[in-house]
Amino acid sequence: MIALLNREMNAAMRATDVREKGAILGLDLHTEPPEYFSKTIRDDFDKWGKLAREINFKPQ
Amino acid sequence: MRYPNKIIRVAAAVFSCLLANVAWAQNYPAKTIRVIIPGATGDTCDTMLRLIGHKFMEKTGYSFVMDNRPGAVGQIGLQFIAQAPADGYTIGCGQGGNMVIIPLAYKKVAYDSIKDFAPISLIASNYLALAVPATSQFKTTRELITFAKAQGCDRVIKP
Repeated sequence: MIALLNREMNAAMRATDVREKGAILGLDLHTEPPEYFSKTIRDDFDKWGKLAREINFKPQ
Repeated sequence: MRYPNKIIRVAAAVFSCLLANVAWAQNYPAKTIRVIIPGATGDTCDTMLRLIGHKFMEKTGYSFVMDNRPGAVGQIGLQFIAQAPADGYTIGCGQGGNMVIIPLAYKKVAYDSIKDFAPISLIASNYLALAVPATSQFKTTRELITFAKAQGCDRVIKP
């Protein structure tokens, strides 16, 4: 199911009007496999978590 | 679109909580798929998901219904997705802010961004910019940081 949704989602992302709308919104559009999304989230956790520790940020 | 300066990446992404089951995955989707948008009509997630959803429907004939559930910077919508049955009929959109920053910034968050969702696609990334008025005394980030430190600001982040 995930593979199917990913494939069709990426096909939609390649449509000209979708790309144009993305450009207007200032977005870089992606068409990678699902793992790329997981990795992005994990990398973002690492990056911002590191910053939070450096500035001694305490969760509210 | 490319920006020359160091960028802050914000992930706008779609995911769903699913457990693959080959027997019924073969007829998937057998009914309308609900798409949770954890924001108001017209925000970036909403605009892109509606556009992509429309393309998706045109090509595949699948039926989607968009369901805006704004509130608490997306936490309301993400909590709804996390608690929905993992059958592939509730999918949604998350962003860097509500999937990464909120779990780091708050002690109590009703979802675990890593464990509670199964990723489908990263849709887009965009940028955050630090801006000052043209008339500002600050011409560089360094000048702004120096000024902030002089004011006693103890949370200055290295550029």
